[in-house]
Amino acid sequence: MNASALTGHHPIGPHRVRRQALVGLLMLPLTLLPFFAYFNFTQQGALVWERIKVTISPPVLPVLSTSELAWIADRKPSYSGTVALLLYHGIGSGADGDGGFSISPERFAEQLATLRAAGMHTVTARQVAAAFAGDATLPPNAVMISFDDGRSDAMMHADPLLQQADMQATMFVISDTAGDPGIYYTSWDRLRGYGDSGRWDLQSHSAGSHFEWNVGDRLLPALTSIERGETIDQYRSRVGSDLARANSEITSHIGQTPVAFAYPFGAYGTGYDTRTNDPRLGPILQGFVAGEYQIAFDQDDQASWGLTGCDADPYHLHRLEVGDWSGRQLLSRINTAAAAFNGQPCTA
Amino acid sequence: MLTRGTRSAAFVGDDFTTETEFVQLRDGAPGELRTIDLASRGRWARIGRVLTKGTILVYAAAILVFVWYTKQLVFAGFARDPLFAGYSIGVVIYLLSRFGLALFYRPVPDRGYRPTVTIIVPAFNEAAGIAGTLETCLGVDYPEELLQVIVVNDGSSDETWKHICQVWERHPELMAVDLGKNYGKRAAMAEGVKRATGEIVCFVDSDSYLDPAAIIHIVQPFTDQKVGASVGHAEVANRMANWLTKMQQVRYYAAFQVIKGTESLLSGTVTCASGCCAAYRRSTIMPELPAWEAQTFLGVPATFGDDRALTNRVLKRHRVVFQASAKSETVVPESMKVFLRQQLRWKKSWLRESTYVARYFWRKNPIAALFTYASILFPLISPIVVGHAVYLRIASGTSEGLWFYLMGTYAMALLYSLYYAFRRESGMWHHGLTFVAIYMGVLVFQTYWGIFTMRDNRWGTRDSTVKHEPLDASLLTILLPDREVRESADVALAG
Repeated sequence: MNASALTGHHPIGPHRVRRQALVGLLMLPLTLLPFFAYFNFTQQGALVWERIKVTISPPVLPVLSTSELAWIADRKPSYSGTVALLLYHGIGSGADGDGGFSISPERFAEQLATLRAAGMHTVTARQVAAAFAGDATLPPNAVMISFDDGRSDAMMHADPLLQQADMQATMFVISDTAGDPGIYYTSWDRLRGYGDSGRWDLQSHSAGSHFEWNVGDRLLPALTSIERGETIDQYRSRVGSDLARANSEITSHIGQTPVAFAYPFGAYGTGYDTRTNDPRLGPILQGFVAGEYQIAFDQDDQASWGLTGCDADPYHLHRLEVGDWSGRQLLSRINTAAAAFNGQPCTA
Repeated sequence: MLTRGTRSAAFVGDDFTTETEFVQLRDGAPGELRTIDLASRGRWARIGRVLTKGTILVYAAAILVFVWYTKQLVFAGFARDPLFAGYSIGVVIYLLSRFGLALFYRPVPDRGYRPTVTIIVPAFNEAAGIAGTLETCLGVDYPEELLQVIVVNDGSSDETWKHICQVWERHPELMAVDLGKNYGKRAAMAEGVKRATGEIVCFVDSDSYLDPAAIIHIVQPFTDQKVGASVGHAEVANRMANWLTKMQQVRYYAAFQVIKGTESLLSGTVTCASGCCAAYRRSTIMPELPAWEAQTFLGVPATFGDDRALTNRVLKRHRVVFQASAKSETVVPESMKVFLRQQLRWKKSWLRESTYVARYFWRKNPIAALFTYASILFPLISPIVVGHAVYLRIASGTSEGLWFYLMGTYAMALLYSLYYAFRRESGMWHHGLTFVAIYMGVLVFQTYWGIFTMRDNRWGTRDSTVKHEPLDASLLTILLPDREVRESADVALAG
């Protein structure tokens, strides 16, 4: 009679112990697979992974090669009284849920290094507003680096790079999402920290109107469309209260009243922009924007994008949507715009 | 390959290639605990062991980093679902602080204290295991004149009594009592206590095996007069049988080392001195026995959870400590059906006893009280909170929070399992993941089933349906320890 039959349990032979030990060792790497899947195949996991990566090794501004520097030195822009307005959304590798609105941290770092080597100076939206008001002058070769939406991936990658490049950027915040940020958006706590660093100018991107809805047979931005059954007065109060809420939220959380607005989806509903279902809405919206802010930004017709001077309509300032470009591509684009500029520079 | 291990051999393996088991070489021979030691000596084995443990530490640290970074997600989710966020944070803090605290637990060392001890083995339909159990009880390292072993057969319908008689013939120092009728485990235990003469009584389940040094170690905490009970560590004897028993082995290890370890550390507040090996000061439990034996809940006799019920009555005025150095092995269910029935029974006794414990625990160590109330609250609310969170996310059409919840659970399950791999150094560590999966998927919901069927007090794993009633003396059979019988047995053997 063997042992197991007597004691009612299964024997633990040396070969079983050896096999079990081997399985245990193999399971160590195998149990990493769910993490791998989470980090690679879910948007949220990718963001967690990016956050871990950024904290452990923050992105570093690249050291440009001598040939690169020589190339840039030949193409240093020399404009004054005007500003190149740039627009970004997210920064990250594959962390983008809304397709094509992200550039890689490496590209962004390269662009900043190039702008710096080209002797360009960053200005914030607040400085642009001051220049329009005639209260301040723009530095030579001014460039405004701006981000829409208050995405956390953009801020966590851009902030250390801005610090290294000694540059500043503007973030247009959707105030409702900052109050309920999830992982995709930046919370008020973090925004306040970024604001206090002096590297970030925090401005308005509406309170809760950053969405599109189906009206009739079209998908239209909420701020430039009227819902079925909605009256003009109702529209007026919806838009008016949204912008007022955005301003009071930003003021109370950040401590500075916003002076600039970025239209959600760049939609303002008049003239060039046809994303509206009622021609009366554009002027109403612009009225509210003018009441709350000194300047407002869109991202109209990218092909005709140029530098901004003080003759521009302060409520339709056009920004260049920067893609996953090299630093050279970006600099060339700015140089082309500088050469083509035929407007009125700002003077103090 | 079947060689006898020595009594002094380490009971719990201390590297990836060491396991112990209880074996009997031939029918009727005394059993032994055998240690299988493949490669714990030798330089390469040591290097491999250090590397493995180092890897596990790095892995666990990486998981903690992950948990730390996802905390932002939880905090960010507060506005949307404060219930779920609060619950997630609570559970993570609860688990991490428990595992963290457990690292500071140390058993009471052997101070040479040797009180008189009575081992009581209640047995019901345990023909397969009873002989082995009694062999290990009778074979423990303890001064013969200070040790008494009593086995109480609770009217088994199988050959349990026959096996007991065979052991008694070999070991006439054994006292064997046959109740002649099935009265329930409590009656059997109480009968044992009434016949016990030891200052300390130690209950050993009829399917558990004692380590030779178990009794020496389990009595050491009693030098502290505040201590009323002491419970030993239990491992799964049939852990190699299948995935279910491997899973239970990992679970037992954490339940004893972490749960009981921290409870013990916090002013001796162990809430369940498990029947595998639990010692009580006899003078402490004597006055508790009548009420405990006659316990009813919701109008029906409490027929299970006897160990937890007794512990909680002792705990009210005394300390109950965990003594990790007192080791035992116990047989666990090998089929899912039996396992689930056993879990339901435990759940019910846990529910019943929670209503009792909750009434006085706030007077105990405040941290222990916090842990205890949290451990009562979390299992009760978790299906509701998780269900609500899943519903909210499905309603809003995002899977975001669910991925996070799954990964958070997985990370905690991994830490739970890696704790076993690191401390126990055994290759079956990953079965901890299986346990957490079954716990989250089935066992938490069983809590509600337990509440609804609270009055159904069938055991589930054995077919005993008993009522509380006084023992019928005319049915009792008692085999008293008898030296002469032993001598005649020796003569028979010699012949």
